[in-house]
Amino acid sequence: MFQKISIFLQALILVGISTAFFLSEKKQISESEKRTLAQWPVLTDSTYFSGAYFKGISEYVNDQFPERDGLLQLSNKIRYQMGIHFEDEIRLVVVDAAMEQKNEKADSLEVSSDDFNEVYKGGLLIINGAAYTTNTGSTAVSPVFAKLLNDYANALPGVTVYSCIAPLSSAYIPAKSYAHLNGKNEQTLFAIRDNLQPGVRFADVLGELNAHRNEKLFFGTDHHWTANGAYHAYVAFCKAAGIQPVDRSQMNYEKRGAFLGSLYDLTRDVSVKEHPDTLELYKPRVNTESVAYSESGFKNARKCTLFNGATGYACFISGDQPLEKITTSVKNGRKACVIKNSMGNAFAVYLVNHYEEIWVVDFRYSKHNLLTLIRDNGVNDLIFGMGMYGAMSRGTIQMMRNLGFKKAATKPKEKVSVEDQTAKPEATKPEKETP
Amino acid sequence: MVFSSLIFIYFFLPVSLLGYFLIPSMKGKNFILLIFSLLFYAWGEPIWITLLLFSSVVNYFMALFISNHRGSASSKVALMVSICINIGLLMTFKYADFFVDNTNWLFGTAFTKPGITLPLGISFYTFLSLSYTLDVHRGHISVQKSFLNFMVYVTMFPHLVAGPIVRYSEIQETINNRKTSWNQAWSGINRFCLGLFKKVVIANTASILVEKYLEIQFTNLSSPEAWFGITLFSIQIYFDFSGYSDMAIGLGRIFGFNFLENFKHPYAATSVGDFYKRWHMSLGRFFRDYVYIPLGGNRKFQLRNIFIVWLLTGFWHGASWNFVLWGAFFGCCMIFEKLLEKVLKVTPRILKHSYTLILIVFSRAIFYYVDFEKLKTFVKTLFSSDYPVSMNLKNDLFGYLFFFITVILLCIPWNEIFKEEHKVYKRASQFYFYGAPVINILLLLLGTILLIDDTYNPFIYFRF
Repeated sequence: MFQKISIFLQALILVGISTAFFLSEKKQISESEKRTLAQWPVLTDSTYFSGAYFKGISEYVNDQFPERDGLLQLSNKIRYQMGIHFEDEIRLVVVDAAMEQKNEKADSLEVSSDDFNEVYKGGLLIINGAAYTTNTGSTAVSPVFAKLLNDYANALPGVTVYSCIAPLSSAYIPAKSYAHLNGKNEQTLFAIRDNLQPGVRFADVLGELNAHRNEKLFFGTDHHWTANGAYHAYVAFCKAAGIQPVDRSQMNYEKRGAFLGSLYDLTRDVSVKEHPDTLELYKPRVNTESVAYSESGFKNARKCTLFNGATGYACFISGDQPLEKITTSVKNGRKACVIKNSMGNAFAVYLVNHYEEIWVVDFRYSKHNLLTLIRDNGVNDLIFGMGMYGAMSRGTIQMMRNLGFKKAATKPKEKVSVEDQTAKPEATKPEKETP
Repeated sequence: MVFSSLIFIYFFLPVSLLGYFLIPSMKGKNFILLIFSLLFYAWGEPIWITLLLFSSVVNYFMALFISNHRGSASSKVALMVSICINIGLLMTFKYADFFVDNTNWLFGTAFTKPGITLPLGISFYTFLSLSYTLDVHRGHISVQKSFLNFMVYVTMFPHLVAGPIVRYSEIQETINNRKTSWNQAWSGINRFCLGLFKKVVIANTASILVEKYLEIQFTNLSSPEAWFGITLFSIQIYFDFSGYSDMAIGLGRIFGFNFLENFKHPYAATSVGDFYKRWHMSLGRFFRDYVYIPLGGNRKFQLRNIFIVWLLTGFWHGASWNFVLWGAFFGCCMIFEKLLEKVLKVTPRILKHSYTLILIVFSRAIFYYVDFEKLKTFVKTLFSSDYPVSMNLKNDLFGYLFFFITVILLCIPWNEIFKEEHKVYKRASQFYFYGAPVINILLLLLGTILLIDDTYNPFIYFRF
């Protein structure tokens, strides 16, 4: 009798959970994972024979399982509780296998899904609740990046080209056994410097950051640098450009609430969750107006705001816009164009102190012809201001090359109609930014 | 489809059980079982299901022919045809690329590799079919006349894709007529939940660490970390495969079948020979009955026979030289054990157990690294490395302490230490009887929670 009752009870639980699945609301997007959830697949002959149909159903069940977000958190807690953890422990977390399945995340982490495993193959280190990449770039790829800058310099006489590349967080892992990674970052960056032709300027961002290595330079839960780290890169740029950087005492300071960034999404590590980041901003005292354009063409421009209300990294220049024009109250006639990935967002805002007009191009999304843009708008300085993710992958370097050396796809100087976007700070592609 | 997936646990299994138990007739039950088995297979192999059907039809008719012409020359011919077709299918779909590769390497030719993806479970269902026709020919079993029942035997989803290699003699009574008792269903559920725990909690967790040590840190491993990594792989492969077998045996019981055991606490073995009496026992039984004994067994050329069986066992695992090397390694170990039989008899048990474990863990490296260069580097690292032990080792030993304790507890053969009449055994059995429902529900929920976060993580033996 006991056996019968217990079998019945277990069956009831099984069927209960199955029923809950049918009754639960199906979602499109996972807020906690920042990705689109699998939907019921369409049956066609090709989806059947490729196996994609059945695989799609399995993914649908996994993604739409009742209380998925809560169970995900519980799953991480369980894995974390499988042993004893120490205050000073260093844990290497493997992330690549999971990412192969979720390409959208790879995009938000600055790399194409094809490059993801290359960039994150060393895994992530977690120390005191902060995550660090272990990759240090590639000295073999650095000359390819340097050649790109040389080619732009040759194609744009009269325009000064700058390399302003940030190291990866691996340079600042607070553990003796990983201290050598700072030197490896340096090798990668210096391999860029050593291959630049005369006239192309190299900003020693690593050197400047090294001088402030005890400060918070990178977020612990996110793959981006802090506003503080970006400020030191700005100082390095000023040194390379021969201009006086504006001291932070001349800027407005603001601290914003806690957030969990991309590396938490990636690892879902319990200790990382317990150490959320805060956003500390240094806002230049310069009046600005900015307009964002779509990936090609100048129609449907949208007004946006620097330092908008977002709590995470998306606040600097309204996330990652394909093309953004910032006009400042600094009437010195100088114009800059910044080629960037999202690391450049925190950096570009400091340039408003020195330029009347700044064009910010996100090479991952923009299809505007770069050479035409620079020539037509009389840009003086072309600044490659980004994290090393952009300079260490042949794929991303090719994307930057395509910006200038592929046939122009758009007509510049179209009549601009500006639509106010201040109320919608994370416009165009908010999902590509990871606050 | 894999057993350790949410779709299987919460949808496929309840629906198939409902269909099965709602239908009163045995014919109807077998029909339902066949339909769900084909769906189960098509889920992962929508194209190669045709191969499974072809193989089954051929073997069904060949066995019928052999049975109807028993003792005649045509019966032998039919047997040979059946063997050739089964082995031919295996050679074509599993080993074609391997043969082309080696021909090109040996003769400098440039034949194009067919590039056939390995059909799921082909190594298992061809061996199962082979054993059936051979046993019919030998007269050990009576032929199954019902095509439906024969198809159920071959394609039954509990054992279809990764064994155990069920012999027809094990189920010939139940395939025609069976009734699931409450006791049988109860023990089947318990076994399935245990298997789910082994796979999802132990094997999948170990796989994360295995990737970390044997792949990501491969180039800067210290020797202790290399041993740690390969030990973890030994844990992974055992819990992965025995977990699958537990689930298969458990499901079989729920449907009224009694499959023989496939594992018997292999890491408690005291010799390499003993180990393989405890590991993947259904494959061992196959090679013993159809290769070892026909070659002469213990009676003549025993050492040669052992070596051949092990080479074949290695080759069965995969179309790669590392598996052949792995088989040869075990063949040599077995031969040495035979030669040193007298010495081993007087060797203390603890020493025998230790050397066996070291050899088994070491052999996993040959099994893991398909690339010989990597294997060479790794073996060197096992014995000397320029790298110091990193913090990872200490952090993972402690960070997964409860995991390792659970692994050790599950590897100990408690039923061999405390026999049935022992009071500890009796008390534990009593506790388990009343505690099982709660334990099962907890294991099911734990498995579900961990599966939510898991990407597709198939069983290791799916690729063999």
